[in-house]
Amino acid sequence: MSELRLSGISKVYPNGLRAVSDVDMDIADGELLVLVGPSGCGKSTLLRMIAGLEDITEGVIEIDGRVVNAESPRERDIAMVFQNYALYPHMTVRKNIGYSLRLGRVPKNEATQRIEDTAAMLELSDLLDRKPPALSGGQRQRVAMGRAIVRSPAAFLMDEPLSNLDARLRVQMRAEIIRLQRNLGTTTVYVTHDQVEAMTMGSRVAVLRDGLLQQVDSPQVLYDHPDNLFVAAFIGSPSMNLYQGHIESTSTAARVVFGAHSFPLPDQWTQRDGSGGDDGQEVIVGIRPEWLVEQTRDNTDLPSLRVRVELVESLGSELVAHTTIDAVSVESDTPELAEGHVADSGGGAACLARLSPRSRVAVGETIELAIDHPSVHLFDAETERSLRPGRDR
Amino acid sequence: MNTATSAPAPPNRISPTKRRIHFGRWGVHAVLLSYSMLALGPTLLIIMNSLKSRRAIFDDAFSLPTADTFDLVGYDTVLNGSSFDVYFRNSFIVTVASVLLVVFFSAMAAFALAEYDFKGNTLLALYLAIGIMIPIRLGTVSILKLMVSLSLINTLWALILVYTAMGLPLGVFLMTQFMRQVPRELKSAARVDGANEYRVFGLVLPLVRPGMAAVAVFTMLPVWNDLWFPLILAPAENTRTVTLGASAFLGQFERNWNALLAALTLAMVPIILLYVIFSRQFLRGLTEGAIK
Repeated sequence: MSELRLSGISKVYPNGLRAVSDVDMDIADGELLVLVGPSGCGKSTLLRMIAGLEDITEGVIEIDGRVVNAESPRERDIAMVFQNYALYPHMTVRKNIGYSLRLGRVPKNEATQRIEDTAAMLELSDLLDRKPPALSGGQRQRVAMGRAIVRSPAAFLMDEPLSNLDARLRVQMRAEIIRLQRNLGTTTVYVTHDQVEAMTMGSRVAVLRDGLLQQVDSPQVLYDHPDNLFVAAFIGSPSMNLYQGHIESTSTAARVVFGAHSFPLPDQWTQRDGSGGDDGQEVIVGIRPEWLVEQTRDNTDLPSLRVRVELVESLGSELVAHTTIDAVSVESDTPELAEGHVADSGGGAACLARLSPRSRVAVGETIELAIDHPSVHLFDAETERSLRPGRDR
Repeated sequence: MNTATSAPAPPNRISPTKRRIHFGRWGVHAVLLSYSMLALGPTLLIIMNSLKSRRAIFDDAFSLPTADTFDLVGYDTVLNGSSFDVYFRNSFIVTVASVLLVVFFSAMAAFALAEYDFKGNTLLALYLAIGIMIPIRLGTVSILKLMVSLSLINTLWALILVYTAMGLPLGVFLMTQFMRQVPRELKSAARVDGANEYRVFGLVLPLVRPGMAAVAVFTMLPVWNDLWFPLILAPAENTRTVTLGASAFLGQFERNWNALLAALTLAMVPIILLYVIFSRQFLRGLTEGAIK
């Protein structure tokens, strides 16, 4: 039960590689904070620094106001769960869970009691005398959790603990970890590259890219108000459609123009009140696939896009249409962005739309899609920062 | 037999792949068998002839002992006429102590070389590897001088120390490879669980058991069989090893072939036992998949 504070944390390897740059973060007592980012963004390095397994090049890590930079892992009283579980293969489950207690010279009776309690909590009681090779993936995962829980540590650090499990088990274990964390109320830092996991688990999510913290906020805020292009593209699945465009604004009206499309912007964007965009400013337009609906008689007043349907994926609950649009798309370095899209074909940019399963779109058709959302996302083409009316720029 | 049941192959015809597998299997066995004969032949010759009378050895060395030629005179000489019990004890102490020291120290050195990133790490590893290439016997004179000035001549310690030095380079080299295979996360987990570096080392040891068994086997055989250093450093009656004791039959009893062969046969027994023990560990480690 404690509070973690990172101030100005950087990690520079001897070969000059800068893995983490100037990260500031406060993690409140009992909070579950998720660190998310593409692989190689420095999130595991950051976690290992908190654990004390990696030297801190710059900055200060505090646990409950106590600077722990120079402390060894065992002095920090932090438990960690690893991606491949890192169970001691030659020890029984009981010894695996009890290893830290044995090292901490916890009296035998108490240790036995705590191991049994932990095992019961994780439904491992029948497996206590087995060795890790005789366990299934999910069971190993639970033993790894048990090893962390039994210590009642100041904080849990979890390094992609679910990525070795199959999809169904992952969803189940995800719920179980959330439940355990709530019940125990232990401060937790959870690292993942999976944005769905990040969104479902974190009370707050920190997005990391190339060692730089991009944004730390609740999942909903990240989704609704991404600070920059990277967060916008990274959060959400399928990810946001992004196009090059510019703003045309006069004293009375503002429009965003991209490719053959344009639609009016809300009043805040006009030059009248001074907070809007400049005329001709280069921007990146972001449209979430879930905002797009088929144009019907009821929504003709909404701005619309003319697209050509290239491929339709029916998922039962929804229908994902891969279409092309007359505009220039923006490349983002988010890997998930790339794999979701059909390659540009026929001179158009890719546009993904999540439509109702009852839609009757057909491949090869050219249709109108309405944008059923108050406002699109706009990003500065140069800085990739979000342009938000009324926000300090 | 695992014949293909799913594909209806025409009868009376063996598929080319299958024929190749058959041939390959026989080929492998032929090679292995001929090599085994080559390796075991001399050994069998020694055991066979140790059970024959002196005359029978010279009449026909390649025949099995029969009722007429059977004679245990060699064993009688070895067991009753000399102090072979002392020699055996010496060999055993020297071999076991050297193996233990080599395994322990090479594991420690390998852990440091594989785990810690310190200045001169590669250089140190190279320096140790040089020991594999340069035979320790080249330094016999200086070793002898050293042992004399340490007053360790004619003690088992002299042999143990030299053999430990002899076994370490290869031991460190082998163990480093095994240590590198231990996942980093496992050591991290132990550290987070509150283990200090000695504890982490202790945790890793069972995981590199196959490596330790390999080092033990590689160290044990040359130590047990060595004649050179016992002859130079510890030739006294009470510090003689089996090999040196057996060689004494060549002169002392005017080439007592019976005794020599009997002594050699007896000398094989403990080393084969030790080998079986270690190789079991070796195989178990491999099949268990300890590291994963």
